[in-house]
Amino acid sequence: MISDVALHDSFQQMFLSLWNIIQGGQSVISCKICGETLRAPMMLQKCSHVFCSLCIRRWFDSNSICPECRVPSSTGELYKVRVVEDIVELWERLAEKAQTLNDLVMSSRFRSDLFSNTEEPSPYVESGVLNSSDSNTGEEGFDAVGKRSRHSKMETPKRKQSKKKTDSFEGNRSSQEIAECPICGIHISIRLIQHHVDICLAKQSSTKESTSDRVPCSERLNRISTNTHTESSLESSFEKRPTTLWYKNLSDKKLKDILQYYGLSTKGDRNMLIRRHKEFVFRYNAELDSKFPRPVSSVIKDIQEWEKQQEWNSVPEEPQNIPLESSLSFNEEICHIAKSDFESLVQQAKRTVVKKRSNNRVSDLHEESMNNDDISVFTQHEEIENF
Amino acid sequence: MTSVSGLPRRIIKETEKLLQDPVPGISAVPHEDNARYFNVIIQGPDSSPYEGGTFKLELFLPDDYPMAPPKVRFLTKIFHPNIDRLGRICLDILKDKWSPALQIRTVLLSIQALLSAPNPDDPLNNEAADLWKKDEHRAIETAREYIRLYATE
Repeated sequence: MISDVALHDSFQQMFLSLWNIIQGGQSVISCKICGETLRAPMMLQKCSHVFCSLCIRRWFDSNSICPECRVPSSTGELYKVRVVEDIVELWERLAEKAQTLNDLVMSSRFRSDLFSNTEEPSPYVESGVLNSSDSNTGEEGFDAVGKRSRHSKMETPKRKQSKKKTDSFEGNRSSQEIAECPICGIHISIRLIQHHVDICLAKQSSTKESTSDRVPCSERLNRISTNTHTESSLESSFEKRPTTLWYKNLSDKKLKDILQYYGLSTKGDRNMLIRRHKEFVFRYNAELDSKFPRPVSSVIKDIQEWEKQQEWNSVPEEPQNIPLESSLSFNEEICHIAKSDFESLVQQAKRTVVKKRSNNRVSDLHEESMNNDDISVFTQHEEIENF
Repeated sequence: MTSVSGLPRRIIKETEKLLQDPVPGISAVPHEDNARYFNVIIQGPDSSPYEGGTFKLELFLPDDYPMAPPKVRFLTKIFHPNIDRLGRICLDILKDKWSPALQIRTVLLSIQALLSAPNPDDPLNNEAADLWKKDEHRAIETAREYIRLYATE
């Protein structure tokens, strides 16, 4: 019995350090641009830095350096790194399992305290001291480890009281028996199963709500198995990968034709058409870079969603962009300062002109330069006002 | 809830980190009505001309952040060769040297560093820069005077 508890403790310690490594590893498999887990990771040829395909493609649209080290780079120097994608996928699964295990350790921590108490029966056990000490250990030991500590804290104390006796008497026998969790399928000791199932159920209901933002690997795999030709169908949808275009040379009509060819909407002004085409190019290529590309129709749907989101964002936030009273006074302040700057510049310009004239060196050329001065002063003024 | 869902995950994460684990001498708190707008306070770095000063700044994350840099400006008046009368900051990473791998945290750290190391060779406030070059002692005196007038709590 004693060795069982000791084993328990050392296991918990080992798990704790493993858990910290897993938590730390999250930043390694995160994209430095979007901060999320890498999707379709692409490596830069010169510096070997890795980003999500979509993120880095968007960045390279108007920049040509690596975001991390500033080494000159461009879309043409992006390479797929399958092994990174595989590692990311493995890591996500590992983290998921570790989370389950963490929940389990949490619950067993309570149990082990219980065991140590029943081992050397003390008069305090019955008087309720146990209860408070248990909830304390939960807070000290594992609160920082996982968000789910809350569940265990809330759930354990009551059941502990009622199950204390049966558990402690059956402890020796039941710790050897293994049962399968009906929800996640994990094999665990019978004495822990009930608690584990509680956690599993709670987790399932919480993940149901969030599945919409993140597609789990298993679902992605299912999608592939039902549609085995997705990659080839996406590849063959169009003759070659689309690229961003030299939009200046394109008429609106031509642009609309291109959008139509890809099955995209042709609504909106020219800027919107260009943005839509660019976004399609980035997303389509990112899809091709991923291990399991989705069909074009999904990409088009994503773009519609993205546009809605953009519209939605810009409508309520437009007035909020200047949320502070200070910004209003800031504008007045700018105008005031700009005006005085402008006036002093005009004065300065006039003085130089007068000087030139008094020197009898007024020529057409100088006249011209004076005019230029005025223009530059004017644009400067405008710039300040537009700031 | 809805306004948060429209916010990129990166901004949410950065905000959480800033609130949970703030940079020493810097506080950045998002505005209630607009999660992209931050009220920032930077303490003047020790053993710099700005020691003892408390500087208010505003920081705004544009729609295309992190592809575009945050917009930052001093609200507190400051005498500094790289900060003009409007509080605009001359800092390369806020302009052409921006990279999406940088964060709010790193930007604010750079501004704090700019207070420690004014650079009169790349001026935005010519008056301050000239004085800094001609008579650094008097320039620092002026900076301290500004702190007494505007940046003391």
